[in-house]
Amino acid sequence: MRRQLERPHGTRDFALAEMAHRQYIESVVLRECGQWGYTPVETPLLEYADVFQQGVHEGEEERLYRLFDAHGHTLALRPEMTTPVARLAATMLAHEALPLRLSYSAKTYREQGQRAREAAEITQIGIELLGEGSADGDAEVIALMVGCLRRLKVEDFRIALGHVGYVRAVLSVAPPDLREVLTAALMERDIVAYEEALSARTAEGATSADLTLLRALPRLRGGAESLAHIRELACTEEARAACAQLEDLFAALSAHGVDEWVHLDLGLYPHHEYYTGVVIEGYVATMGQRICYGGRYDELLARFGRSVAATGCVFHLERLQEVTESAPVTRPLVHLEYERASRAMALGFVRDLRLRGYAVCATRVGEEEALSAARTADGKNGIRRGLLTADNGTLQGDELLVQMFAQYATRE
Amino acid sequence: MLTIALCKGRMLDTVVSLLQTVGLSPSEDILDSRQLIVSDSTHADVRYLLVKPVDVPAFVQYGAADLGLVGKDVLYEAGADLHELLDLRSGICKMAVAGFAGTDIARVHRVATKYPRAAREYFRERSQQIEVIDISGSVEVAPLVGLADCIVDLVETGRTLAENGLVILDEVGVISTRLVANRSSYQLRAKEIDPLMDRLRKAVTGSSANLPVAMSSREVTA
Repeated sequence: MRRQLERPHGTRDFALAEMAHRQYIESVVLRECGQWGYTPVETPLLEYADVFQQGVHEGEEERLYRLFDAHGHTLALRPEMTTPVARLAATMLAHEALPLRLSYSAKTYREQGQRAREAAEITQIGIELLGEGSADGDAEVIALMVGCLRRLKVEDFRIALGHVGYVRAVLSVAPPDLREVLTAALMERDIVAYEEALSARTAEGATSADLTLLRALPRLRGGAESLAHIRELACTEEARAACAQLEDLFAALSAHGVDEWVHLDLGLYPHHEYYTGVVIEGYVATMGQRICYGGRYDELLARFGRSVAATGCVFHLERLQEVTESAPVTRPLVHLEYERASRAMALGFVRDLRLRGYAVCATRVGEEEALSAARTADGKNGIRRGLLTADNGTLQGDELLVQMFAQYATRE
Repeated sequence: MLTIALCKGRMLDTVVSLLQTVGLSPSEDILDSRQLIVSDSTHADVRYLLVKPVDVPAFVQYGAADLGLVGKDVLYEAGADLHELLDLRSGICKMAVAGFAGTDIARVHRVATKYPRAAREYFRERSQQIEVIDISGSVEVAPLVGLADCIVDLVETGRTLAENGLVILDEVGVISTRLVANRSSYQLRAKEIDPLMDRLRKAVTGSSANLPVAMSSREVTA
């Protein structure tokens, strides 16, 4: 195997049009985040593995890429950004005024599971809103995600809302071992396994109302109107509190004007243990995987010594690439070729063009090449081509370029 | 347009009759036509894709179909990223370990199967590491020619086993057809999927009179 020519499994190269597309998406999303007052942050690609033990689910821990530093400490490539940003907010930014609005665009790494569901290397573009514990914080994050998707001209999408507090309250009537099986089934979205586990075991001490709700849980969903029904089913204080939060959230979403894209799905239960409240998953038609996901994690920062309410959401750039069209390149591009004898004149002209905002390639050519270049001088792919020949003063090629050169030559 | 992926082959008739009990009506010729995309005679916005069973999970996961009806055996092997919504309780058969009578499962080393994941998981539960030989058909021949100590395979009537001098050594589990959904369709097309899922659920779990034809017509014997 000629490994020197290959990339590690699950990684990719990007270039040319594809890279331009990535940069376009990144700039649109980060610009929208900027308009909501989010400022970019950067954290190291490497962290101490201990950092991620604060946030990652057990099964995910196995998928960390680990290595050792010279002192034998275990390091890990970051598998996600929320935990490093929480660490940053609890340390370097500990004395910054709240709420903090942070954004990032960063590569993350996760060893592929046995079932290769996604790439090992993923670019995450996301936001974290720290110090805003009310439903307005959750609503802001959702509205911003909707805003980004619409800026990218993605229209056919849906944000599903869950609430891990509600789920945990409902599952609390089940004994711990059953609860574990039910939780795992919810994470996999395997309703059949969930129901099988329920019918095989009886939750002792649970009332029939508890059991009705337990059975219905993975299928509880609908628009804001379904909240009334969901609240009726709620039998614990925690579940009712979750319903009140969801109600407040829907009111805030409607004030943001984004409620038409959002619906409830209380069977939603993400893989991360750090979530404490509202959780979010966004889906776009034609793509089976989530386009964005996130939620409230009010207890994560306390593990780094700063107790602050927090919520956030993240896009996978590679998935956004699949559902968006690349914007047409709008920057002007000029390709100017020159012979050695006309170098000074050519590079002076090029300097002038760049100052005026043109992107210019300048390439030196030999005499024979010059002739062939002259033949293809008419603009290809929107590129303005020109050839400055040795007799210092004549430029052949694109009309506008010829004009600009004439002006430049007079000025000089 | 709601696209439903169905398995070509012997299970198709039971699946079609199940769909009919919930008010869908795949075109008459679905059973003997060679067409791979079939419309619904009463619902203009529903169509069916006929694909090989092993391919149903991929068609659904990647969104070529919104829903799929497929056996748990195939689903488990595929390990696809999708929603498993409902046990349709049709297409029921057993997955079993089979071999020569008297074979001691605890001493088995090599296992031939079409279901490597299920086989490994079964033996792993018994703290037994085995070598799986992944073959795609005529699994029963493997013990006869010394390729494997036993096999893990689906057993419907047990006739093939008997004719090759093999017996069931242990049952791995019961397999049935499942309703699965693409994760995105599940959210974006909730309004179409939820009522259909409810009707199917009622048809499947309702009174015995409502049980799908599959339950009564298909003998489940070893």
